[in-house]
Amino acid sequence: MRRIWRIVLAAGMAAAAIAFPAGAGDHGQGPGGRFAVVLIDADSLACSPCLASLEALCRAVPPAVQAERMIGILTFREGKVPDPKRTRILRTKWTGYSRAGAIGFPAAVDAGHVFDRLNGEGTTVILFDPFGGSVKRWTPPFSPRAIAEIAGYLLDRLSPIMEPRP
Amino acid sequence: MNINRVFQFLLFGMLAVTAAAIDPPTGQVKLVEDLSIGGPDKDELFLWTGISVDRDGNIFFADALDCTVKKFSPDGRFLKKTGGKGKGPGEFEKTVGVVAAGEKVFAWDVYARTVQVFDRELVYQRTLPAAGTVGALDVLPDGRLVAAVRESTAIPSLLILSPTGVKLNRVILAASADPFLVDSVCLATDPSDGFYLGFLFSDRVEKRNGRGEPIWSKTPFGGRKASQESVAGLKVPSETCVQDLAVDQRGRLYVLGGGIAAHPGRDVLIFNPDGTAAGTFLLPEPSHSLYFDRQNRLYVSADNGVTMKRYRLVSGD
Repeated sequence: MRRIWRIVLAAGMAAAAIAFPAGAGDHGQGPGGRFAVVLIDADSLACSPCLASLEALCRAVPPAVQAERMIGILTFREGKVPDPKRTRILRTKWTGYSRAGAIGFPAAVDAGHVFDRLNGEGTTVILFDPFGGSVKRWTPPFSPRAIAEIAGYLLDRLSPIMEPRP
Repeated sequence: MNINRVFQFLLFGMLAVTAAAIDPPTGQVKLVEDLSIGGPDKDELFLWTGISVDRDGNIFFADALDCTVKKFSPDGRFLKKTGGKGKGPGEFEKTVGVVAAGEKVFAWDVYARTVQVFDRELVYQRTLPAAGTVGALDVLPDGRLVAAVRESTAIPSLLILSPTGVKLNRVILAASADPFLVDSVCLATDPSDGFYLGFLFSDRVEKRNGRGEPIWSKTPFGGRKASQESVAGLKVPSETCVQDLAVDQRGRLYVLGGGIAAHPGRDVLIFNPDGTAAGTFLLPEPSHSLYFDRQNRLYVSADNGVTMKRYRLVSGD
């Protein structure tokens, strides 16, 4: 399973020409490698209720930690053929959205539709351990407990079920 | 041909040329771009949803993504913004509309049951209660406000308000309880004290007088019904009909077609004040908005709401 995630992520990152969060670059080097990938349906950026859970999560994670350990992937349904202009438009929209919502993590556009199958339920948060394996996946609405769990993981306050693999 | 007749002919020609310079032509229309604000690589506009131009030509935007109202100079320079995400005075959860009238700038939110008032420098002044969430708002020539509000899911209504927000008249907008009608109404006031209503999910445009009473009603796109889909057992529209309305300085109505039009977001139908057809034209790319300033320049959106383009309308002959 971990292998599949690594392949999918690698393919996605290559397609979207983005980098892992700074803290996630040292896979296998300890808890500094924990990170979250947030898949976001670009059409939902104008829909406050759709992203209320994500905004609640971001209020629980300090911006500096978001910047270091979270990365967004903007997905979209229309236009299966890569369209550079559309990619630029979505980047601009993300800038506006993240400024208003105090979102502290960067996002890249999934221009190659690599992640389409992973976010069929809209916004999805996937946590990864320091070794590149996925730990857990959430879709909104996030309960207060889920927010605490995700934030705790990113802030190194690990619950027993989420201890990184040796 | 005597000299008087020549003079009359020349005078008529001069008047015609002058009129053509300030009034959009009907029939075949060509668009000449004269201003662009924002763009895919500029962090100026993120998803503008409302536009208004004051008497000096300053351009105001409601931007839904960064929850602001922005002001640009007539030549497109960014001047100022206000707002930001929040529920306090001068803040917005999702800014959706703005109207500049006289010394005031009215702006409203998709979720709040209020209209916020700023001065033209975008300094917050006060909040007007709206008795419901505001779907659309415009200012009549005498300063009264007309607003389409959703008091509840079953009561979409039109409110005529004094400039200070006092309710003067209330008209139930839909006889049947159609929960999708009100959030989806667009409004454009007429220089002769009336106003027009367009329905996003119904192929219908209405003209009403200043008291909200119907004058005429049309189905500009042939009465075609918008398609629907079932979401959680509820039938919801999946296609738009009338995307937006605008009125030029002579009272001609411009109707922007939505998904049911041959060219969604691009087909514009022109009607005379009495409802007779006056022409059509096609926008270069899909827009969600139409707006005319006092000089009859047309403002539309482009690039999925990150760009505004301004056009002069000239005869296409």
